[in-house]
Amino acid sequence: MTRRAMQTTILAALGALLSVGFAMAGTTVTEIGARDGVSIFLSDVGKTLIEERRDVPLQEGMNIVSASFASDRIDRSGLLLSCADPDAGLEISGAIFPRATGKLVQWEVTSPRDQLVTLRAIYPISYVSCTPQYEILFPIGGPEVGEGLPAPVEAPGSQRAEFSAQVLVGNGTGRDLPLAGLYVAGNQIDERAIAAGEAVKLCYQRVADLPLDTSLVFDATRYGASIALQGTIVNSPEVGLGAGPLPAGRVRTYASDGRDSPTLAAEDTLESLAVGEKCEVFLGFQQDIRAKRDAAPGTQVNVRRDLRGRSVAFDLEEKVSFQFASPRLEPVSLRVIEHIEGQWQIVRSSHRYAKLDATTIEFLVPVPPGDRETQPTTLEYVVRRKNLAP
Amino acid sequence: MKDPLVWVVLAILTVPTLVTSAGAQLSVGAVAPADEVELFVYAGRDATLVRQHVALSLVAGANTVEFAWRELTLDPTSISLRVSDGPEAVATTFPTDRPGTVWFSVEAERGGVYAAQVAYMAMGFASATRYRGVLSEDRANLDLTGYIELTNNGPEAFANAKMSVVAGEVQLLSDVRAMSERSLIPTDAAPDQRAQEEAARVAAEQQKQTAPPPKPPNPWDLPALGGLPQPPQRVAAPKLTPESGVPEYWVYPAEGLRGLAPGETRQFDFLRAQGIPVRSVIRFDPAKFGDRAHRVLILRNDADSGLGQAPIPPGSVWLLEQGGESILPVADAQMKHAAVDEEVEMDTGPELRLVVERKLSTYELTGIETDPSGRVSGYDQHEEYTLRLRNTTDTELAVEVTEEVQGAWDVRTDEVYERAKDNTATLKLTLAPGEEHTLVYRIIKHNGTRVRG
Repeated sequence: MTRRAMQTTILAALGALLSVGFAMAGTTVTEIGARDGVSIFLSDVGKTLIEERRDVPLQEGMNIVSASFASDRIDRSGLLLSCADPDAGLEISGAIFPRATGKLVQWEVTSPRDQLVTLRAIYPISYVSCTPQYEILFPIGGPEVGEGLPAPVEAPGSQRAEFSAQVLVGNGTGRDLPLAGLYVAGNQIDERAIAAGEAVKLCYQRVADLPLDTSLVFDATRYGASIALQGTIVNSPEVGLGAGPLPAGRVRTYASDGRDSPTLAAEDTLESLAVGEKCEVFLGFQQDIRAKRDAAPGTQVNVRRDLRGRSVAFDLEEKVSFQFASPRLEPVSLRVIEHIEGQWQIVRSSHRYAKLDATTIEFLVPVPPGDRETQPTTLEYVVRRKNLAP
Repeated sequence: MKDPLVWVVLAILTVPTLVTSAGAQLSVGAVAPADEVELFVYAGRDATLVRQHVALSLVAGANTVEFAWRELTLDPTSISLRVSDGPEAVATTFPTDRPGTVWFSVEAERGGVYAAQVAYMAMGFASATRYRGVLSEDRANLDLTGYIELTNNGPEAFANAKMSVVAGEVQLLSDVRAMSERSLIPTDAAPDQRAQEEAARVAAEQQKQTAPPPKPPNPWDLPALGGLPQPPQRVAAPKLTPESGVPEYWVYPAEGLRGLAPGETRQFDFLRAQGIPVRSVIRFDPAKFGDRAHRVLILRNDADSGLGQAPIPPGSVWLLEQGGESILPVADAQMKHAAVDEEVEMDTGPELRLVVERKLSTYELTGIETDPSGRVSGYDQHEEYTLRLRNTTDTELAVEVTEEVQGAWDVRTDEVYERAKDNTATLKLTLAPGEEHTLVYRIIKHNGTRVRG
């Protein structure tokens, strides 16, 4: 190291979060220009990463590159300074924090010659949130069905809606984030500054005409006594999605209220959805269709007893019945989903059913058009739950 | 002390000082400043071994060497003095009226200047082991940098000290602060701690002897019949001790680091390896990860990987990925201790590009047996799972499906599986890009008399 080459470079970069540098007594101070670029890599599961690039003039020998934090939300242990050009031949020391509670960081950078290099600092930061969410917007002008509540669609089947994938980015660092490229899953979605305390909702994917297969579902465990409208989203290129997995997030469905603006019809959670996969989301209740479920008290059968006559195991037969009535002008088809725990067997049923898994069966029940005076459609089944302990 | 002794202060560190005096005759002025100070910071513990190399001027016969400290927090019982080439510290005295002082009685056959070494355990330095890993774009190789972050939280600068970090299994019975506050003599306020420790040891021993032996599995202790099976309870495994019983530790010198100012933190690399081959396995383990598959990176600490010179100490890992000209964050992970020639795994979090759907497709109880009184004495609980796996990536994926089952059990499947640790069954498969595969396996849990078949 030559004596002349001992210099301090004020790296005022690391800028969003690092403030203006400082001068060290007795050393050469080189002010450097504006940052070359800032990128913010947002993540809904891990830390947010910030990358800053800046052109820095270095002298031959050892240089001290300094910067100071403007935010204590930086995870300083993750600070990394590197050179974008491997031919620059720099040797960069580990980070040095002169004071444990201070906001100063330094690196000893040894350069083989006088040169202008692009240094890249990356660091993780907390308190920058990135929350995925989705919106499904049904076209304006749909009919108002039922008793004043919005109905997204008139009837189940293939519907089309506007779909947008968004992230809500919140800056809780206490400092402004500078103009930066914002990246989600490696793709740039915007370039903007975000002020301290500000949250911005950024749409990174929009499909104007997303096909949704919808169905009417009665699932007492999930929706109580109401009929739900569910839509199936397919994450595939054929429908305009499929660019990557859709991360888990909240889905809001907006539907026509029959007047001039959409209203919120439903909220649901979308689990992460890989490319090519599909999932069902709740789109709202259909309260014009009436449903009622009754489960009669069970009867013990096949009772097994010990020598003292005490019951040690038995089966239980339960009868479950439903009544459905629809005021609609067209017939509707209801998916009736039942959850039965343990070991069981359907003894008889009025409709055919499909076993979805060990604890779930589904009936498909057609409900004819009619009004409140029409005789309701009835579904019944008897289940034997086996080998129960008293 | 009232003896007309000459006190010579060694210029070692500003606070702990060494002073020599001759008991029988004067030892004059031959004391040199400390040649060297070494600091060994114990990773994960607020404990630092300070070793000061000094030159002691001694006279023939009895000498008294004083060591004093003021602001440092240290374990006085750990202070030791070693003199090279003959002289021996024969006694160590903690004077009643001089807190923060220790006198060493040193016998020397001949007068002269001797190399000596004072060592003690002190507080004030903290260290953290961290890693930064950058995966190649194909995630087949990893550039790994291990660094230690050293912080001086104490009042002393320890300028020009050689610094090292000690990692591994070093048993410290008490922390330095407790030892610094411990009274060296029994008092009413502080009863004899040795006696206390002995009493605690005896009590623990007695408790061991009177405690009932571990309860063997009781085949008649049947769970209630019916209903869905409860998720397995995790059982704490007994902690294993190294077979050799010899603690293993490694010293990582902080090259180029010469002391730390009070309040200062510096990072130094202790490991830098490029292009470490890594294996990537997608693990689906409901007991461990819930309903999501996790990507686990596996690397081997051996020479073929460019490692293998020493064990890799545990620490947090910040994993990044090379994405074009940028570096993208992948995950925060934890590196476990990896001995030489052993593999170490890093969980990098959920892998959303492997679709996993696990369904309990069948549940039934069979083989219900009764005892002579007619009560249920045993049965088999069948759980058949259907697992749909789909690789949505454009690379081949190694997948491991692990089911954790407690008690006595069997697995029926057409797939090849490995049974390990008596409570896990693992099915391994490789999925080509875009491939979909469905696994079907039945777990049969034997209860009560059915355990014996």
